[in-house]
Amino acid sequence: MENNLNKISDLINNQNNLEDEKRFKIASASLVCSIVDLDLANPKEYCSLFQEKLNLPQEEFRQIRNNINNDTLDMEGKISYIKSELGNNMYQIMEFLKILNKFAIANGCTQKSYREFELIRDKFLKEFY
Amino acid sequence: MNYHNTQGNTVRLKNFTILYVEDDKTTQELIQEILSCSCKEVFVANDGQEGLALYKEKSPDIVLSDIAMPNMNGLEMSSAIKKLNPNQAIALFTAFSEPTFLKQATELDISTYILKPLDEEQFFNSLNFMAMELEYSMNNSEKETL
Repeated sequence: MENNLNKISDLINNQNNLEDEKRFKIASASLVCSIVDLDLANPKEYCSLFQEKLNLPQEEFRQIRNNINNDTLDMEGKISYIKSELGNNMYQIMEFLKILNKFAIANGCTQKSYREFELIRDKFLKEFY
Repeated sequence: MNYHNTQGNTVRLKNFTILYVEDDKTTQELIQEILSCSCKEVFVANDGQEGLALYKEKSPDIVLSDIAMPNMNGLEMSSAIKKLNPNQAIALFTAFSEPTFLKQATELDISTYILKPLDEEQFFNSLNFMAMELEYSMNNSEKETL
């Protein structure tokens, strides 16, 4: 089951709506960027993680990254949006957090990035703890 | 720092047993005390070698370990445990100051870290997250056997 859920299109409810998938990818990539300093990270490893875990090819991620600052949603807004897209389902949210965790502990991880992951994880799960 | 749990969010942990491995006696006593109030049962070992022996005897749900310890360090112990049970939930205490250790830990598929210095709320949140993952995999295996 975990393998099936690794693809972002399997995580969101409306799998046929490409616009929803794009919004979901932007919000997810934006959270990853707040966890990992991609300028310091191993680019090869992160490119393959974005492709494998978020279904984001390098070029698409580059475009998203360039536009992250134009995103009108703040961190709370992104988390709330992603939770809603995941149907506020605890296990779906956990699958998503496992993806974020993969980024947080990939090569080049620092205490700062792991701490940021924890903060995001706890915002996602506060009502489930 | 107050190490007593005041979060009231540890009900989930009551269903799970923990093996806690730590060579520093003062830290060991503190963490053992707070874990004992929150978990079903806590088994304590003083180093990796003792930890591995206790793991084989008790089969705990969660393993929580320091990394740097005499006789057998936390990574060597984790590696031996993963050979016995690749799905074992393991969390390591770390200050993220030794990248080589961290690389080895991620290669062992260890995804939960308890950051030093210890923050009580983060500590319980991390343990709760592990407990939720365990519940999830238990539910899934129940479904698969039906």
